[in-house]
Amino acid sequence: MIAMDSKGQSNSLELSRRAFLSCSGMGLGAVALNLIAPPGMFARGAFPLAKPAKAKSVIFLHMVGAPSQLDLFEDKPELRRFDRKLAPKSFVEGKRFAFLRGHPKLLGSPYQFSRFGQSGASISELLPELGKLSDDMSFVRSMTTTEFNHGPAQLLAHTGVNRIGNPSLGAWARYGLGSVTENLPGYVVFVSGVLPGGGRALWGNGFLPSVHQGVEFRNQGEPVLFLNNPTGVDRARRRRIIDGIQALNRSRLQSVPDRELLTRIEQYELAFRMQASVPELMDLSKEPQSVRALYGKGEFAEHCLYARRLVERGTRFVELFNASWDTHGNQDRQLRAQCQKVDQPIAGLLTDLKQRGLLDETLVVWASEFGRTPMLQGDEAPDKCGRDHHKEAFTIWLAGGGIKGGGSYGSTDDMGYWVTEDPVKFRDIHATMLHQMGVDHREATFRFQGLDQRLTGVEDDANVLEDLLG
Amino acid sequence: MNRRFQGVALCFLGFLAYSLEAGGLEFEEDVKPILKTHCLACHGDEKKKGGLSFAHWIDYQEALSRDVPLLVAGNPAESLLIERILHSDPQERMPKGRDPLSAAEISTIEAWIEAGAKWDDDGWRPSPHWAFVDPIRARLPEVEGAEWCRTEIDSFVLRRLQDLGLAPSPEAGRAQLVRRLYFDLIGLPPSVDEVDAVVNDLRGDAYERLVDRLLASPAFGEKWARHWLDLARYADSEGYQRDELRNVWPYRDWVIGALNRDLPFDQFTIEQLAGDLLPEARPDQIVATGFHRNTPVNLEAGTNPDDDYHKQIVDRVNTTGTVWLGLTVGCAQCHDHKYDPLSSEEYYQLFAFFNRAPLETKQKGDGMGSAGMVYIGPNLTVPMDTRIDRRRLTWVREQKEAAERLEAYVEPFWSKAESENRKDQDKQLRKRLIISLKKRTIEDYRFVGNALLENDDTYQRWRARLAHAELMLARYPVAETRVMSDRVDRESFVLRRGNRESRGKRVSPATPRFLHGFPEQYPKNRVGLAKWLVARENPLVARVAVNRLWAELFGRGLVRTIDDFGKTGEKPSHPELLDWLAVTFVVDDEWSLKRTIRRMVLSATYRQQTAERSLGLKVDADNRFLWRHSGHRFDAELIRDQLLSLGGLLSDRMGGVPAYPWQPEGVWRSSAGAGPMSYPVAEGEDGYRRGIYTVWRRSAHYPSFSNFDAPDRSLCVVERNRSNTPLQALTLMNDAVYVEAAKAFARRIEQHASDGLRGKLGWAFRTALAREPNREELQVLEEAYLLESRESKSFEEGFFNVATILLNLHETICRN
Repeated sequence: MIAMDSKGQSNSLELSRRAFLSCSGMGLGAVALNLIAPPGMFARGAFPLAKPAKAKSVIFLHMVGAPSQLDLFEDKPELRRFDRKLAPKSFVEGKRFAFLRGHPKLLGSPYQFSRFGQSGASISELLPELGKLSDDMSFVRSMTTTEFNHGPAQLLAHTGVNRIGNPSLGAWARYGLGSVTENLPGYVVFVSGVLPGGGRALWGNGFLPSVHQGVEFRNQGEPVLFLNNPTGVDRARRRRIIDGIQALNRSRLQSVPDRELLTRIEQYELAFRMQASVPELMDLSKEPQSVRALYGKGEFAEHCLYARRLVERGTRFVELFNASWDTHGNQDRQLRAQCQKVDQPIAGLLTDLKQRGLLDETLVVWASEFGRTPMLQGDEAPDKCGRDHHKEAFTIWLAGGGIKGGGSYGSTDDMGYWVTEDPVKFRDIHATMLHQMGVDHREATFRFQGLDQRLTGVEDDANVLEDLLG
Repeated sequence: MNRRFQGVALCFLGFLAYSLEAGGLEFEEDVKPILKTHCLACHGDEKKKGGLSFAHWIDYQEALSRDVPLLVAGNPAESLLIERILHSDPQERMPKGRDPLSAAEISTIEAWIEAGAKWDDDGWRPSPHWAFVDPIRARLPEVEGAEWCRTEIDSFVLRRLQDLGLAPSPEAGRAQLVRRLYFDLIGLPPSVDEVDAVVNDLRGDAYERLVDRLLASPAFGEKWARHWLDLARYADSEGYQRDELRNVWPYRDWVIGALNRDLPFDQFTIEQLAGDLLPEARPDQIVATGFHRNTPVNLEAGTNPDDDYHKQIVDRVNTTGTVWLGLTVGCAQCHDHKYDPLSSEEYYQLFAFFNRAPLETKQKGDGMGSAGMVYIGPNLTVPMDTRIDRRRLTWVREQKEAAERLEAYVEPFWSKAESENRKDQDKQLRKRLIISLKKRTIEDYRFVGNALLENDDTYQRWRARLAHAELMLARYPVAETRVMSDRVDRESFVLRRGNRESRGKRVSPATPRFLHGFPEQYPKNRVGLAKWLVARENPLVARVAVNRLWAELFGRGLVRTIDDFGKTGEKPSHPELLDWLAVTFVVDDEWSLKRTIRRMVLSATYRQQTAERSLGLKVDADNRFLWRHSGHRFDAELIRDQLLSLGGLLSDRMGGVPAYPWQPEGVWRSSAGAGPMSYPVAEGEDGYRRGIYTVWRRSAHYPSFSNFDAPDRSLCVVERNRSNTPLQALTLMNDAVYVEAAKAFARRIEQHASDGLRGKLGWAFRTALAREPNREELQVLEEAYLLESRESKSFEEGFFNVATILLNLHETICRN
């Protein structure tokens, strides 16, 4: 397998030229080569491509805190029938929840569900815009996880492991597939609202080289840390300074051939280009009003639009985190507000991608770290009640990137407590995502702590969800 | 085949077996060929699926001693082997995916088991893995051209090179060696004067004198502690969602101090693993046990304390295995190690050594039904430096006063709200309001105040004052540090597939059987384990330790897989040299790290140039055999230390509470589930401390460090990546800390008393790179200066460009 060595040993130019010509993209400094190669030449990364990729890029939408699947996508009349009745004992005996104690009652969804599209997917009134696109989406209704706390569950959803220290799937994709764009980072992250509890480890490079970490585009100040020149240094002066740096670096290269030095020279050029391309990316003034209107207003809507612009420009992996879905109490108010924030923007993103012909090659995944309980938490009053964390069953959806439209996978019981058919874990989703990107997850490895580590774990229990593929 | 029917069949087969036995059954002639035909393809020397092989007697012995033994001699019906051969499910039946055994073959095997399953020792033994055999100090190899050799190390290296038809590289220039030694030993750049002093020192032992001076510098510990703290996963925060700050920095200072006073590595080990259990343990020995208290702690609401505890113990076992044995013991957490002879049972026997610690978290007992967690792990109060104690006292007083004033202010509103007992009052608020006067805590007052006095300016003022005092107290924390303690008697079990819920056999503390024995007189606790790890008989510990030192100085280990000396690890490039170093480290140098480092840097091998040569590239492009010195980029902290030092800004104050150098706003912004986390930027000298003192928050660590591959320190890291990215260029050019360093360096250049512009620029170049610029290089700097001075109409700006250019050179951030 690919044991990439990034410990920065100097290597001769001769060697690097040979590596260039053989274009293996493997082994020593593959990443470095990636970044200095002419456009297109090193679009591939460290993983062998099993087959032509369906998805060139991924947009991962993470609803932080866990939206209630029972109020958005899972219509459960039976649960409604037992609304505010005591939960069956089997729901709580020997079970542990984050907050629920004692013997809780059930909470039926107060929202209307309607059937949409040819697939007839049932979606709640809280997501009217998204409902209209249900024929483009495929639902996984039988998600399960092993963690019921946000931090470990988010880490599991992103890195396959419930602890910090492992690479996130974006970093794996960036490492394994390389970057297409020469002027922008290959893995970009936006956060709306507070930081997710899992912290920056959710887009960390773990044991992979730091070039693969997600670059957070910030909402305040400079979009990328250290992007802006200090006061007194304009673009022309920055160029003069870089010219000086490059002249000395090149002069050194004459006497001491060193591939790392060659890479360093290229990185200063890339940094300089980024100083122009990132502001250009962030400037939405040239987007037509009709397009802006598709996405609606608000921070998250802008992030969705940035996601499309990034994908268009060749960024491999974009992740949008949206906070505040943790509805333990006051669920009605909070859930309505949250849905309003994301419904139109996500629908706008799908529509925009579709009308540009980008949806076919862009995999969009909407997920949370777990779901919410059929049981009621807190005050029973309709405006006060909420739901606790639920790891046994929840719903996510995928769209585009070769995913079948209008699909549905797995199912839960009448109360939405247990998975009754085809349980799915995050490793299966990761395997499926890599598969759509043209990679066999079993071949996607990196050697660390004596093991060929994989996003999908060394246990060999991850499966591609073939039924969802178009 | 259902169970009952199977039973009938077995009876029948048993009968057959009896008749075969009567006919005389020979293992070699009758049984072995069947195993060979049907089993060896998957269970032989090559594949050994599931860790099972039928190739040799010794494999058979192994198969008999498994958790579920392969067979029960004399009882075929109870034997796993028979069960699998006869299994009704073709997915489970052996041989998997092939035709089943014929009835005759099955009956032969039945008969063999019935008759006692004898298998004669065929005498075959696998050759033991090199790293599990005691190192022996080989005689120095004979070499031609021995005059190149300065130390024993060189004989081994030279011999290997000569075998390959290569020659070593010439010695690097004296000035370059000075720079190399400064960075390798103390992590700081030499000044021009310091370089000149050594270059002009004509005494024969000038180099040795420099080495000894640097080894004696207090900065030595600050540089070398960095590597150890990566192994120890030292950080100033808990990790996970809450990621609150924690107090364990006295451990960091202990490591720096221990390295500076050259605490022998065996003692260094024992104190960190078990200082608390030593007879009449001194406080500093207890502080040392912070090593294993650096594990992340999950304080997110609703966490199961037992789960978190379990993760911590697992981490302690795995880290111990990596650091002292160089083995991936973690593989045996779920199943027997696939490659190394470590069973899952042995893993949990190691686990048992650590499984006596108290829980570190519990659910808040505030009676509010809250699922919030509090930290309850063991701490040690340590003497603090008085300056910090004084500052702390100020804030303790301030906090007390603010709290009292806030309580007094809220009091009347509280009474009023309580007596009103309004229906629309929030349930949680109501619960608080009925708390009796004596039992009210400051938290209660704050809760009630926030609920009732949201728009009351006076209340908000007191609340802000209190919050500020609390924040400042966090900066001058109480003199406590996290330490180990064995307080709880727990039973340990083998956990099937690593699952805490799935208990197997009960186990007690023991060390792996394939390694040296555990002496009876050792206590079966962490002290015993630590002593066992640093026993002279341990074939791994010294090799692993010297290999790490080697990797720090030469860029890579003699064993390149620093964390894996097991069968899947790489073999050493110079086995005799590794063993020679390991034995010398223990026997001659008595576990002294400084003496071992000294041996390495005195060698001619270390002093070679870095330049590449075509023959070397052809034969050994990776420089595994050390025909030149390998350069590499500095680690994140060293880059900071160097740039601040060149600007004349670096503080040399040692130790103490973590420093908060400037960082961009918003890096520490609050996260879901955690309280607001403001970052109080240091003022004055504290903003310019060495990188090792920078506060290390796991979920959001110092951005310029993470851009240069500093790990988040959630796990033990033996070797950092050295990537090369555009964000690094942006960091060096635009991070305000480095812009300030460039400005300060520019002032130093401008004010330097050299003759003329060229003199100043030459001095600047030498300060950054410890070498004279050539004509072209000097010209580049001169043109850069003149161009900018003209464009900006300011000499100062010209020097700023020169300083920035020098601080951004690849050569500046690399060791050559």
